[in-house]
Amino acid sequence: MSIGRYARGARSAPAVNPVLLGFVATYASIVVLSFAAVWALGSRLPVEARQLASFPPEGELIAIVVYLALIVLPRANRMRYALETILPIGLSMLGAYAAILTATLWFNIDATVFRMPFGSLPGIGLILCGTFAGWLVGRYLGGLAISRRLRREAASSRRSAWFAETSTDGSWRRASGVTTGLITLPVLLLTQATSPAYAPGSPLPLQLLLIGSWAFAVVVGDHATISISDAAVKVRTRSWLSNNAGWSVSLSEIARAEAVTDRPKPLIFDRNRIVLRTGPALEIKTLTGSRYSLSLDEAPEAVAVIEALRSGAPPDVSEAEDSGREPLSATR
Amino acid sequence: MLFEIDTLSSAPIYGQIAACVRRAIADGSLKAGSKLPPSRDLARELDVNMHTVQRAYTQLREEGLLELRQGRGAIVASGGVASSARLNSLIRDLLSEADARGLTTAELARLMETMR
Repeated sequence: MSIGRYARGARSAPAVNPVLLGFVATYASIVVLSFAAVWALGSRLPVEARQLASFPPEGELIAIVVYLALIVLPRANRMRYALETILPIGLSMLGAYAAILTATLWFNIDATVFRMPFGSLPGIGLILCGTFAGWLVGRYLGGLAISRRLRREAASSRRSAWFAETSTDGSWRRASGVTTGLITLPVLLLTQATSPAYAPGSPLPLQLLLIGSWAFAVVVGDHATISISDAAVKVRTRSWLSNNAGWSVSLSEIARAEAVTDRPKPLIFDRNRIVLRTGPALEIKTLTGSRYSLSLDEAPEAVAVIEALRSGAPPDVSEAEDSGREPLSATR
Repeated sequence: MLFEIDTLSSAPIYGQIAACVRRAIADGSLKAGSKLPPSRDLARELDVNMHTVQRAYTQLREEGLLELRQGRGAIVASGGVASSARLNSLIRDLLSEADARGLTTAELARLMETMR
């Protein structure tokens, strides 16, 4: 193979813009379709349904302008801390609204008596599907943003990419069960006390849905993949319900990478910490003091790859594989 | 697993990617049933076309080293690992035979080169 040092930097924000534009386009088209539907069909709805379906456009317009402004702003790492959170939450709320609107139109078009969209199983199903579909699209776009945010800065003839994956174990399920349970419980009690205000006439208790989603999230667990290239370290999670889509760090931002042992802890809401099992983990400290971690059986190998790529040398993982059999020196 | 390519090399990129997988199977870092990264992800990280990665995976499937399953990606085939293990065993036998005859590795390599 010919000589050539690896690129160690990464382009940041411009690569995210197509993802953000995709999000804004999706968001705007749902809003426009919703307004068009209410405008075209509103006169055929009972008064109560018309009130439920119509809403002032200012809020949506402001949201779209804010998202577009994020594309224009000349910040080096814009959206770094927000994109993966904004996209799933923003689109799931919009998906829920679009589904409520669709159910309202579906049940009440040319009807004389108003029917609540929550009042039947098809209505609840439609709303849940709309919410979940919006969430999935947002999460997919958020994941794309993580993958695309940091790309190779300059053309280099030599390129490397190292891949590994990890998944949850019992310790994660326990910690996650406690965390989500403690969040769900107050919501459950609140819903219990004010249920009629949330879902009038609903045949399916919201409490059941909450407990169901909680159990689903804990049982299904999570799965993460890591890629280390000569531009960046990127981690993406695959859970459907988690809002933590992963993280990415440019190699040029890394101050230190080390193999540690770690375990999942309840009530930790650090987005940079993806500890899915008790055992070896890769921990990265950046020049700005941020700390990123990921459970990884091959953590010593990952550290060796990162160090080699940072020094501009071809990675040699054979020594790290041998050293991986030794007890880990650093322990949290 | 580690993939390394050099775009200035005379070897085609898909061949270099396939060689990385072959090496990993031969040295045991990839075992039967191990999953390879999706071609889209690998292409993005190496900054190459996705079809280049797919071509490498297809070549490895034709060699019996990989199984390509719809929706599950590329998985190391058990037959591929077995044939790789057999090759490793033959190489070990050859090296011990060369040792017994007092041949150095360089001399053995030269001898092999003349026989190709």
